Amino acid sequence: MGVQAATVAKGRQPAPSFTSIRGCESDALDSILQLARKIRAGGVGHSRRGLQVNLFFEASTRTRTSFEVAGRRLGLDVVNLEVASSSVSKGESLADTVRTIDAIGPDVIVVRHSRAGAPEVVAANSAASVINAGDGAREHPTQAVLDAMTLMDRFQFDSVADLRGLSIAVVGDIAHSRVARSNLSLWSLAGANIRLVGPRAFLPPGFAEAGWDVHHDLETGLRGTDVVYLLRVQLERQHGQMYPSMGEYHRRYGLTKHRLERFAPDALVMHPGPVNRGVEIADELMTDDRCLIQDQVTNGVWARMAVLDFLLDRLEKVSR
Amino acid sequence: MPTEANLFLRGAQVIDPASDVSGPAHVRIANGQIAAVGPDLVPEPGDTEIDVKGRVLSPAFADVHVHLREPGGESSETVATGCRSAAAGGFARVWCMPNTKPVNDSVLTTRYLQDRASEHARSGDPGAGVRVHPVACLTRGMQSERLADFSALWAAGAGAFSDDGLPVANAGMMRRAMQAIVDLPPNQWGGRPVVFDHCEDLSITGPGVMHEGRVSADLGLPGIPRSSEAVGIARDCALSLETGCRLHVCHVSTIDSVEVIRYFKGRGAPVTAEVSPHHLLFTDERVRRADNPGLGDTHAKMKPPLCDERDRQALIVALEDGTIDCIATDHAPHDAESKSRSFEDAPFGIIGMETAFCSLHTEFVVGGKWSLEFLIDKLTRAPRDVVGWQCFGSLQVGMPGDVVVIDPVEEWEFGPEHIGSKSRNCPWIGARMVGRIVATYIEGRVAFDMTRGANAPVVAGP
Repeated sequence: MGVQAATVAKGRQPAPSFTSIRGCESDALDSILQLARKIRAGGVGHSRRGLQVNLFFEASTRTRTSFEVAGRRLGLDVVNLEVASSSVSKGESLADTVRTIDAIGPDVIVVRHSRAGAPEVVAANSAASVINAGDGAREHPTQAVLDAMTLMDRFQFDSVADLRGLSIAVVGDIAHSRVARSNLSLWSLAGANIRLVGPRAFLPPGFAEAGWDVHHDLETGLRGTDVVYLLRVQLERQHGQMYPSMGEYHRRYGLTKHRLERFAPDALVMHPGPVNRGVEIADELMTDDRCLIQDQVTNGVWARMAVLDFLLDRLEKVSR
Repeated sequence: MPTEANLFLRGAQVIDPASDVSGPAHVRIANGQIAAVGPDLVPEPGDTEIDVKGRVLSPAFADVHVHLREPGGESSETVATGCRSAAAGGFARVWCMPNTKPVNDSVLTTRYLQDRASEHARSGDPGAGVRVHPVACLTRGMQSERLADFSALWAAGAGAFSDDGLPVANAGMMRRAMQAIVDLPPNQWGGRPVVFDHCEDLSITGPGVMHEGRVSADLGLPGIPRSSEAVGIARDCALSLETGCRLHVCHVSTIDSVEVIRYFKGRGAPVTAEVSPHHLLFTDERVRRADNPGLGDTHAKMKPPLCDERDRQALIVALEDGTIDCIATDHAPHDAESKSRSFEDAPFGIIGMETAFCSLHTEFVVGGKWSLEFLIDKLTRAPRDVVGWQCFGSLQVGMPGDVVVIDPVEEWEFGPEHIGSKSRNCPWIGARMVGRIVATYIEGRVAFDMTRGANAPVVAGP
């Protein structure tokens, strides 16, 4: 749960892990964000030693590269293991795969997996610090950190608590989005006003039941908001079609310059990528001044360096 | 079978809902059968007397929905350990589902399971004598493509027919199955074959692993829409009404399902239904792990999933008003490795026989909502009427000497040491219980004795 000592196998020293935003204290998040800014400013010249294993059970170029660059810049040895989920389903359990890797002695395991809760299974079977790089539809906590960093930069905030009162509309496939869930946790912790916008297939009734401000219409969802956070949509899933077509999605929920100017002319636009141009967002907005997508990518490396450094620091204290 | 001494159980509060009996009485079991019940009985020479004053004595329970995993899943349960589990929970008779490896779509497997139970009966180990009625498939390989040989399976001792968790996908195929089954003759106990129906539209369930609602939204777990079950029930109740085939709806979990069953019962469809203890006791909030509310607890993962409080209340009312007929556990053992996976990767199901009586007794009888007679009725007379077999579920003279002795007041903590099953996937470990199964007798022989535990041998073998 958040930045905490994970439960580990018998006889092992528990290592600090970062598996979810839920359960994090805002102080811990502020520490990480301040560290990220310090690292970006060149103010922290760490030269860490250690082994970072990127254990990716789902294909990912962006996030894996971001973590790899972050680890290398800190001085870590980085090994990338791309394990197709199918090879695991063929026999070896996740726990056994992790035990094998653990025997190599990594200090940090960065894990991405298609199943919610997989990082905790990794942490329970390894002595390494575990960072969740996305588990199923549950959490992608470093994405929330880099998004917070991006927003705080733009608004010149010092603390996540400064996000209080900011109005943020999340648009798209919220049900299947780990990015959304981590961000919702962080923004809720800060006290932001959040709206969820999307078609019912992506926003089932449980969200309204849980008390979220749910909109199935883009205009009411966006009106007067400070930030529009767009999510990538995927219409075809393993279990069938979610929504009629990309064109149909764009017609109902796509963000265009015209709509932005009509409904929320001052709003900033974010997207965790990769972007479906002309679907979630019109081409013309990609280079708009209000669009923060490039800043998000750049901050990804600083944020992940900060998370790694933060955990390694605590790991040293634990093992000392 | 070894000849056993005749038993004289002295001084219990006897509750036999099938005979409308509730009061102090002695029970005499001779030659494995109920010989007499009454307050003025005296033991006959040679009877073994057992003092059960302060206890409750009732017909042993019957569970029409369990998974014994044999053949093919012996790492989580066998017929023998399943019988142990049953006896520890007061059950003397179980119907085991056919989703084994291979599935039970053949006379061979149906006979094999009965043989395994007979072997265990001769072992004298805990659970010896528990009767195992293999439920056979509706379609070959549970593939929804070709019907099984119902007549041969029924003659071989099949306890009912079901494709369990892979419900017959094609409504026309299900209709043909019902048309064939309705014409089978009654078995030796006067029971007509029943279709045990796990109702679920898998095209609606999709990748779902828990009830779709606020908790699934919060945990980021794929939800199972509530319509998945009700749609399946509506389809098969309509087929039951049309064909006249007896349909028993398994583990009802939602208010919509209850209302569909109520409607079709009202129209005269030969439909019965069961509810599981976990659906009566828990909601989807129970899915949150106690040590981390952002993660799912695999010991609360089952199908159908735990739904919300409105559903739970509707199930309680439905059991009380008779829309739901009986309680069945859906005892579904899984080994520790599979339940230590992430919630999404872990299999569906929890064990339930050891805890069925005590968990429901604690909540509903001690809680003041039900009489003890009501709870016992739903575990004895009610499952008997679901299958219609006149060979269990009451203490009438001549019935098998299958009785359970209950301490209705003992307060205790349920722990792994009380589990007879080979598996430990149980959400009640650590729960405070009031009321406890003291002993289970089957044909007058001890199948479970609390003082000796769920696993230790209770009597020497023959």
